[in-house]
Amino acid sequence: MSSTVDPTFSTTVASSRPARLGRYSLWMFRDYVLNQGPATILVVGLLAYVTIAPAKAMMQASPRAPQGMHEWSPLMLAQMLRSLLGTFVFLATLFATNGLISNDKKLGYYRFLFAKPVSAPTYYATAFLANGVGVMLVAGILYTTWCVATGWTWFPWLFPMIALMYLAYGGIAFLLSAITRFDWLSLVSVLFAANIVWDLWGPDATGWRWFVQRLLPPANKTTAIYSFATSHFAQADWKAMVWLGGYGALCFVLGLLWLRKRPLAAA
Amino acid sequence: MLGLAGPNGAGKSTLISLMLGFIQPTDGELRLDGLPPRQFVERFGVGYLSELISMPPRWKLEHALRRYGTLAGLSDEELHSRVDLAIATLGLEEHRGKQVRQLSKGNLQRLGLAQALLREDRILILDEPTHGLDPVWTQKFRDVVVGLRRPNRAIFIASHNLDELQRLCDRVAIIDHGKLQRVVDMRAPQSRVTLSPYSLSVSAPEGVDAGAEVRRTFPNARVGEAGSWEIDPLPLPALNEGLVALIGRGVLVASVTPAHTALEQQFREAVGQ
Repeated sequence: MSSTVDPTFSTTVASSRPARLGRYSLWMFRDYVLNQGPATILVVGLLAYVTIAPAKAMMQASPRAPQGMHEWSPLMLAQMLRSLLGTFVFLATLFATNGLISNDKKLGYYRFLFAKPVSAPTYYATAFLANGVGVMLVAGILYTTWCVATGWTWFPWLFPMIALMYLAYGGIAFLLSAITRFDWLSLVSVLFAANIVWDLWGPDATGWRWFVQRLLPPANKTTAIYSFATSHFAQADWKAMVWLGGYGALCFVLGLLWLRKRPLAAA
Repeated sequence: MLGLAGPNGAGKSTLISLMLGFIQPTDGELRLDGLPPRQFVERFGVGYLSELISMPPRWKLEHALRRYGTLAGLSDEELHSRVDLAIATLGLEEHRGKQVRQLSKGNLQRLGLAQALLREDRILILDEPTHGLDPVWTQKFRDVVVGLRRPNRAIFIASHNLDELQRLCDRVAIIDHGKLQRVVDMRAPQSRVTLSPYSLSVSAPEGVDAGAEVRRTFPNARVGEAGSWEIDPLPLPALNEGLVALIGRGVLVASVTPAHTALEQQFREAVGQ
């Protein structure tokens, strides 16, 4: 049977040529901007609204009500920003890293991706980085909105601390996404357990309790980080930063090792 | 070009997953050009069409190819020309702006094949490549695959379609229960002339009982599909002798064909069917 198809692609086969992951990271960033980015803005925006609206209504009930949020006391604004920062960091990281690896495994996308000359650890490390840049972009948009509403206040450590928390929470999420299909559930459970354990046993736990506390993420350190990020006067808690960042980085490296050593598909 | 045939659950897809390093062998060792599979794939890449085409549903067809091309290491210039060529070759021009979720099964299959052909890889692995294609595109696919032959390229085709393997492949490996049963060399003359049952279609003028004459000539003949007769395997001289006798008794022989192709016959023997 004759055909109109010209199947001639070439007469030679390719030599060794690696994937262009730097270029591909632009696709990853685009995916973030079109998917998780707007979702993060919407959800955090909604939570910010339900946090701010009651306070605003209460203030307007008083006889000397401020005209707008820029007239609120700096202390109140700082407390509100701190609370919203905690919400943002958790949700933005969750949205950015949920299913990062597990979805590709679960839905079979890995088949075409990893038939190309690219290793899974390098690919997913790039995706983690591209999404991290996306998280910083969203943080920039939300903080600009906050500044427009409350008046411009520049906190020099705000963005570095957001990046640190992305590494801390994101590193854990990365490891969980590599080893389990239920990564968001696992992440929430682990962080919930960590908070409970630190609240119940406090910083002076001993014996096996001390061990369990150190095994779980250092959830007790986040308050110091958020205070430092949203204040001109708070002292840097370097130990807390190193512990949180180190914990996330360690989990991230373990995730990479898991990807290197374990098969991508179930047999 | 090596075909891979076997019944369901024989281990074809498992073997392919092993070759790509997606799973690890529980026993033994597998090497591609002297390298562990993952190491080979990460260094050279493999043109791979999986049986199940899984791509993010919101990706647009052209963007999907650009993404895979970028991962395959194509430069911006190559990317442009190779994506256009793949789209043209697989007849996907009118769908280039569509999302993956909007594609029919056949078009999705063609997209899967297009991404496997973006780069001139040393190894091509096609798992059930014509699954979901209509007859026209099944034929066109064969033309495309024939055009992919290179002296230093290995092409693996796993398929249930033995006719397809017989037409395309130089050799066909038949596996069953995870073990290689035999390798059939399609270029060797003996693989085409094997003892096979024959399918015989006859008619007869009034007064001649065609059925009775067939039974008399070939005592083990059975009624087959659509009124034809199935004759047990027998050497060509004996078959010809019987046919001459049949015609001599006034029976009109409409067709005599092997009931199974040579590869089908080998397949049946290899898997014990």
